[in-house]
Amino acid sequence: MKFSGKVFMSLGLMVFTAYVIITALKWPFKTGLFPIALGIPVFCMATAVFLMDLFGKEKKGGGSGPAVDFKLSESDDKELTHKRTVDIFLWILGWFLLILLIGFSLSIPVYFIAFLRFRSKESWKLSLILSVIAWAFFYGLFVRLLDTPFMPSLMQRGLEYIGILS
Amino acid sequence: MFESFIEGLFLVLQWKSFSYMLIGMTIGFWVGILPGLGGGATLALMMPFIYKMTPQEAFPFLLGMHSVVQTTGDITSVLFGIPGEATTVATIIDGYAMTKKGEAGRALGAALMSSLVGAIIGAFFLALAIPIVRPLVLAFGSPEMLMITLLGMTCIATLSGQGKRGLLLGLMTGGLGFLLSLVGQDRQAGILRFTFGQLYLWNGIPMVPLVVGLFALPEIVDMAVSGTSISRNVDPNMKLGRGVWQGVKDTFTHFWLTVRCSLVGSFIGIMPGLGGGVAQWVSYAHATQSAKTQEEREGFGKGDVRGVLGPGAANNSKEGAGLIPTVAFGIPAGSGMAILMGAFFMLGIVPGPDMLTKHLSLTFSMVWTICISNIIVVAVSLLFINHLARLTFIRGNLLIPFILMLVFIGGYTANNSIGDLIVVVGAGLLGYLMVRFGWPRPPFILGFILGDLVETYLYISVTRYGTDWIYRPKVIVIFILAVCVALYPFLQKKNLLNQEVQV
Repeated sequence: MKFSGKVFMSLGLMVFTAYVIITALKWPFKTGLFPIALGIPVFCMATAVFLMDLFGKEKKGGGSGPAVDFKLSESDDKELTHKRTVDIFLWILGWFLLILLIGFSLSIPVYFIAFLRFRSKESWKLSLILSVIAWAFFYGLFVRLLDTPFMPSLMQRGLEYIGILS
Repeated sequence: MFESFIEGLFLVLQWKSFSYMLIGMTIGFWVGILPGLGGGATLALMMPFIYKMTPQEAFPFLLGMHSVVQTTGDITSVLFGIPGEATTVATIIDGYAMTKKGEAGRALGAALMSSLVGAIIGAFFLALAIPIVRPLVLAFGSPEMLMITLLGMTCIATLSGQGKRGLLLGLMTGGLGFLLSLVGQDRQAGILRFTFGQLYLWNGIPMVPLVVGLFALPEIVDMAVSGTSISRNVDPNMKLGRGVWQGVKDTFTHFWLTVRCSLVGSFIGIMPGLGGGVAQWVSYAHATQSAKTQEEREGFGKGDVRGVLGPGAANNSKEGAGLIPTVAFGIPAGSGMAILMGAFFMLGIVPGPDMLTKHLSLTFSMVWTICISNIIVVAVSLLFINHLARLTFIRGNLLIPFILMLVFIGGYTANNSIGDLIVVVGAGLLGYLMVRFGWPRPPFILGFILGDLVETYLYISVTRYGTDWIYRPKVIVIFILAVCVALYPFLQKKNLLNQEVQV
């Protein structure tokens, strides 16, 4: 028996499809038919994959060929790879939260400076120049030219709430 | 008829029409390159500008823009692994893999040239098919459309990995995509499914943020982890653009594959409701079937140029073909064509038989617009390809924030909602886990695209015909075809193994 990310992934899909089936059972026939008809085979397949991952032996060079898809780069230093993966996911999540907090327009220069200067250790000059270019591109194309409606940020809402912004 | 054909050319070449076409092409060029900004949405944005134009000026302007979007959409897919358009995702699989090997120029050359071939075939498909396609489109009801979508589903087998486990994973991820397509308001009973009380999910999970997150974020993570440029392990002094002509030549080396994929795209293009999302994957699956040995088959996904040629050609050919039902019968083949049909009415033209008689030269001018605009855009792109390809040598640390900005804004423009950003991040995490654990993403996205269509066509068929729809001759024929397509990869594999044993 071997617990790995693969096992948890297929277990997650089993739980998800079980939820889909249980929820769909409460719906009228027409609405529930498709989720149930699809959910059951997907659940069975996820269970099969789960059991294979849990109890099966890894076959080297046989059994299953690679998926027709992109592959992640392989590295010998697993710890560094793991650390960098977590790090970049946090940076991605960070920008998402920054957009919520201060909006697209402000988040772009702030994120660019933070990412380039503090994560990538680029010079202040290059960080500032690239931030300005990115912001000018965003503002010129999406704000001025396309007039894209951007959602108000939490900060903007807060300032409106306390009466600083109208 | 020939006279109208030539007259159509002269209509496009009039200086005003030609200038409008150039403006439209320039807009289309950038719309294609920028992720998230779709051709359909931009058509809608351009509509107010055509009020004062004549039809001879408006159509070159709109079609010049719309028909090059897929062509340049491939550039972003190949260079950065971000789909420039939702319809250029399949190009990433092998195109981006080639870029990472330092073959960006070759991949771009192949993508652009196959796009051009596809566009020309699609345009001439439009010209030739108008008189003969009418009975075909009108004879296809919901049961036949359902069978065609099932035919598309059979490509999942081809897009999955090899072996029993590969097939199992492919079917499972296809099913997962299918399940996610069920989110939203049920069209039959109006009941909300898996919306968790969120208004945002009433219309289902939007395609653009899902695709952008699913395909682009794992690439960004990989770039950050490896800490190099996109063209990693490639000598920076190497001229990336030198492979361009090789890519162009590849299109002609595999010319029949390009033609076949163009025809696949054209056929899917004339079928209302299917669109480029389906065409790209079906043609990609067809391209993988062109492998002659097991080793070749395993090369797909790692940078096989045929994986770029197939979707590149199909994406563009479906544009011309999509005009057939729109122009001839007033049945828009997709959202972009529905918007274009709005332009017809704004200009006082009613799509239908008049377009084949009274306005035949205008119809042919559309054929010429598609051809000429694609030729110009491909020529311009080929001129600057070396500079474009050099972008892949920029350090990953500098590129990541720019790509991430395009990903977030591209995803956000789908509905201009915070929900879009959540979908981008969620899909990115799912995409990363899928890649990490070897779950193939192409079947997932094909299931997602086709799920909604299958359910809709099934319900219409059952409501309209009961169970009798199963016995319709065309349904049986397409079903047999679908079974053959589903079995083909297994027979092909068996043949390949037999051949290798004999050798």
